[in-house]
Amino acid sequence: MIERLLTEIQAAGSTTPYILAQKLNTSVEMVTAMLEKLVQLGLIENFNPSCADSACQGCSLGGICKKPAQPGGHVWTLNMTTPRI
Amino acid sequence: MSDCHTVSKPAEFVRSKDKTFLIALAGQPNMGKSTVFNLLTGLNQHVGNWPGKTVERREGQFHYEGRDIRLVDLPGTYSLTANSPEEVIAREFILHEQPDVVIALVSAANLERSLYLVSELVTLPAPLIVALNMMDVAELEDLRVEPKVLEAALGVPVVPMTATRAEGISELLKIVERVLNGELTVSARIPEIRADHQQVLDEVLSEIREFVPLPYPAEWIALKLLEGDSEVSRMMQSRLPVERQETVHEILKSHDDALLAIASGRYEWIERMIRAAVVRPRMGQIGLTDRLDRWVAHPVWGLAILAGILGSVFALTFFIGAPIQGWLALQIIAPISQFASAALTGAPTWLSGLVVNGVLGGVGAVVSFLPIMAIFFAAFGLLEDTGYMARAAYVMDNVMHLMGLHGKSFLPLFLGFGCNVPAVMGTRVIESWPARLVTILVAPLIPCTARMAVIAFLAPAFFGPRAILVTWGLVLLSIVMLVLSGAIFNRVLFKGQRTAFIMEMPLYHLPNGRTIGMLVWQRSVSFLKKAGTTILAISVVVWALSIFPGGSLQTSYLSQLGHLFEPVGRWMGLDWRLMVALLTSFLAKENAIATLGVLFGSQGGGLAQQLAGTYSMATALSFLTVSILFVPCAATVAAIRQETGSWRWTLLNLVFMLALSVGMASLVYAIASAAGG
Repeated sequence: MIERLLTEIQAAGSTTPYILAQKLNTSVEMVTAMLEKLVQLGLIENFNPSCADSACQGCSLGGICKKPAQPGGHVWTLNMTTPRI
Repeated sequence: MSDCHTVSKPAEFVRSKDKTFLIALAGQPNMGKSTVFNLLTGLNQHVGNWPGKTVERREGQFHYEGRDIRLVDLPGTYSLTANSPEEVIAREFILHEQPDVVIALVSAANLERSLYLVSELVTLPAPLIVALNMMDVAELEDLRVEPKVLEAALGVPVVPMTATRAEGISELLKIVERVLNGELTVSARIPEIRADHQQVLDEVLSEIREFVPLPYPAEWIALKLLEGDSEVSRMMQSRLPVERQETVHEILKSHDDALLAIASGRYEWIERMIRAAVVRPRMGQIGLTDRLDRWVAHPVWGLAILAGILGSVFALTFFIGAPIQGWLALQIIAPISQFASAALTGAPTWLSGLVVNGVLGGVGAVVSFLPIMAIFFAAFGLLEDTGYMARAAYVMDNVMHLMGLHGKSFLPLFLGFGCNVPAVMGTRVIESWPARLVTILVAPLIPCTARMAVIAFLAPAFFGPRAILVTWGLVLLSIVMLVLSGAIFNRVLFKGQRTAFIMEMPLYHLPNGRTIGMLVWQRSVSFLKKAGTTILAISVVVWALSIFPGGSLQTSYLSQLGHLFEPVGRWMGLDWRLMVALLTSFLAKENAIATLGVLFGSQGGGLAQQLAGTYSMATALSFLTVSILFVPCAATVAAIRQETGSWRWTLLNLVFMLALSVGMASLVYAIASAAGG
């Protein structure tokens, strides 16, 4: 199941847990749980831009950077070293 | 995936009443373990550290039905693989201390996540009870969890509870008592891995079985070896003969995907449990967020909606911001200039020129477009506060992927709409150097708010109601150039690699006026500070260059500089004054307006109107094109130098942007002139 999730992510480019849940015929919560597991396994990463503080001062869109840390605004990215399955 | 099998916990766990019983509390962090621990032990508890670790150990005692019970609160863990000291402590405790009962705390509101630990606990040789906590939260979220069905599916007792209200504690203790009395048989259903990996597991098991030390179950050790568990691997390495080590190593090496297969098996097991025991709100009850996202986050419609929203922001800017800007220029800045001019009648000419043309001409022109900036800030603040901005970033990423960029490029590039400096610095999150370099090189092609303000200032004067279309077209041109350039750079530097990103959208919500107001205020103050420092200094320098050495603009250094670049300007239909404005925009984009303010300031009337009366539409279109694509400002160049650590890449970026902007502006001028503009 988690293998299928990884395959879908690798094929998707950009996607959301909702879309992945539809493709896997499961719930968004299940996908989110598996994404967290993939983070633990080092296959995907939490995306937390380091520019969120000083570099973004004066930027009208800087707030987006802080979104990943807030509930309901999480971003994950595929690790560059993740082998294709 | 094969079916689950069941494992009955042996009867030797049934203990007599005259001993102290040991119960372990296991669970992921934030499952309410501490609450249950405190409810059961009260004040009869002590806190220390696990031997040799800095991890907190909590232990307590209580009496129930004449039994002395020792309760150990295991560290919160997500799994039982040696990823952290907590996970090692939890599993070693269960294996070595062999508690009479293990209570696994799970959240009824998030079984998908919390059952993972249970999927591992059921494989250990200790009777398990699942405490289904947070039933109140599940109810609030309209989740119907059936404890009895879950119990049948898991094969272990399940006790529903809400620990924060002490509900279910006595039921939990009754179940513990029945397990200790041997009245309840625990026959856990164990997750299994895919058939092909099951064969590998059997192979490993046959190689290691006789060397597995007590109290470890051989099957569990084999599974952990397949998972690549570092602690177990180390332990077995010291116990296996060399030839067995090599055989096991070869098996593991040829099945390095077993880790995923095992995790997959566990999640399929969890999925089955949830399908059996949890009823979610039906799909027809999907919330507003999901319904809106079907359109807003759609790869095609999402882009169309984004374009529409951008168009609306421009419309707001032009229909509200531009008239206020014109009013400010004519009713506030111009009278101040006239007053200053009158007040300085007797003063030296240079002082009058400095104040009226240098300071008020330059800074005044820039300050007058504060309303335009404020509308930008408010519009972006509103979009951000409603949760739309994340969707915009998401649909933009589809465009980013056309150039094959790394998934992590999308956010830094999107930030470029605010300012290119954080866009360049934000690329630090990209580990791959080629991917990062491509992102840095194309980041200045995102039109920042300063560039947009220059466009917003000039476009309405030249194009009237068509200014929205012109601005929209210019932004589109920038994006197209970014995609094309990115694709080319990517082909050369990045070799076509691409990676994905997964974005959990925040919920839509009504914007908060105070939040947006604060944002507009802070950004406006920041903008005015910039006008009072950088732009003021440059305006004074531009003014000085415009009167020295002879006091006449026509013979000034500025004029000489402008005429030096005029041949290039001719390709784009720009005279020396527009060329000088363009050159000074290198220091800060708003300087283009400040410089034109200095150069046209003494001629009376609003600057935008004067420019519209001086230049043709073809020239205006060309100037707007070159402005939006021109070399990045000095701060962005410094950021590029800092982030690439190379003058070579910085210069390449400057040359590339210069060639692109001049080339595109020349093309636009030629086409617009041919069309009679």
